[in-house]
Amino acid sequence: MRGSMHTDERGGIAVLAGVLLPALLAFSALGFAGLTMAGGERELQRAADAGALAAAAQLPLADLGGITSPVLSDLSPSGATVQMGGCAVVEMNLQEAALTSGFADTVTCSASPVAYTGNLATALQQGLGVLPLTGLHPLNRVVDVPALLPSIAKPHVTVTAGSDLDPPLRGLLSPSAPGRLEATAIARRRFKNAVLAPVIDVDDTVICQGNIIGLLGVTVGTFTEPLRNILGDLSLLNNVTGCRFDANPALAVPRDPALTTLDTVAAALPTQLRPVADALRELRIDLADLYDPPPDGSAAPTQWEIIESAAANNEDVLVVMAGLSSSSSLLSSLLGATRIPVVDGVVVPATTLLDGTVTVSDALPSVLAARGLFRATLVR
Amino acid sequence: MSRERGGAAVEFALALPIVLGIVGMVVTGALAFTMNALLLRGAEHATRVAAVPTDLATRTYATDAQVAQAAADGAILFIPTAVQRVCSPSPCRGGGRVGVTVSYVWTNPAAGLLSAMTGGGFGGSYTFTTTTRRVVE
Repeated sequence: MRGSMHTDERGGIAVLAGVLLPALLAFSALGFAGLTMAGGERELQRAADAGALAAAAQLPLADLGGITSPVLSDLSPSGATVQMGGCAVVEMNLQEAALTSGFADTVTCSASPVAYTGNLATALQQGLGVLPLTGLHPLNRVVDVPALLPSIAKPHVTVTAGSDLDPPLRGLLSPSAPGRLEATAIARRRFKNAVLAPVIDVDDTVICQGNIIGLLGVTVGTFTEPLRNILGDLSLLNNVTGCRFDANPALAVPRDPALTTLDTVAAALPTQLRPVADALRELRIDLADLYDPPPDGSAAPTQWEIIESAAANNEDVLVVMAGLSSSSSLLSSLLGATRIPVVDGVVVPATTLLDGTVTVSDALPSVLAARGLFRATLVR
Repeated sequence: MSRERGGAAVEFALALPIVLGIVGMVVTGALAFTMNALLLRGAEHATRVAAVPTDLATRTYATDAQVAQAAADGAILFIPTAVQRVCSPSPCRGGGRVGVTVSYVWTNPAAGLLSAMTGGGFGGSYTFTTTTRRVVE
């Protein structure tokens, strides 16, 4: 009897340990899981944010002018997702970073830069059909969409970083499907270097410090010379004292009037061109950011300072001409309006010459060749 | 042999408070680590929400209520006691910095046990606070 009682006492600690050990392990696992998951998710979100920003900033320009270009031929009318070069770059970089960090085991990137562009092209075609004198394609002068498209696509990039990281008891912490952690970021491409020029009508004469720049190539049906043609002439004034881009009223316009002008042009466009108007508002957002004073309280950059900064970094600059033409040409009267909205844009290289002078030169032959024109902002 | 009877019970009685104390500390530590990790998660969620514009066109940013909700979503298991957003410069704007401080007062479920075991030196409530910052988009 005694022996059996003695035997019964043996194993008490084992029972205690058997009860407490699982509890200890469970709570230890809970703490470990919490720390690991939070750390993993943080890494994933950082990877997704960085990837989206990098991809958006590297999205190539879409050139509507080359309506048969590879980019546009990939577009579907419904605006289906198009894989763009930006994603190829970011996937390569991110996959490497993901493997290094050990958290993200997969990274997916999708760009929908021009879901918008299909609608825009359709609207333009409709607009051409609605306006008179279609044979002259007046819209090509009213709104030079091919040159302006870099600013009017809504280039968003979505990057999702995922991991199969699955610590013990993860199910207690996260209601989402077990075995998979994901973080998503969406970034939008934005202009880094852009300046605004006013509309110069064909019958205007540009004079600065006694230098007269003639505008040539006036043809019937043209309200204003395309910016691409006249920029070379106007840029001759860059190195003339008092005629620099920011000091020359023919080349530069102050921030507020410039932004207001974009609003005015957007409002003046015919209904058929609503996508273009929307695009101008997008451009306005970018320009407003460019010309707002920085958060450190210093003064906002002038247009010339933006050009100088671009030149220092060997980057290009978008020059946008926007406004209402006051031309009283035959075509404007035929269109039934005396003030025709004009929007045009070209990408130009900003260069620092050997003597330190900064200048802008003729427009790039293709916006696809632009360098350093963009930055990116997270939008979600 | 009779003097040995009940020895295990005595040992058990002596060991139990120590074992329970250890268990309490492990439980407390695990919960504290988890709380802290989740609070950090909440703070980072909230900071990201605060830094990304809800409307790029108008440069509108999340309201205080939206930031607090993001902190709660991020913390998963609890709702932070306080969430404070500070922008520099104020109000928030692109290129500036935003910091979100998230606090949570946590009452340790093993507080009574630990307090008894440690003579009141360990247990009770803890206030977890964490701050994260990032550049405003």
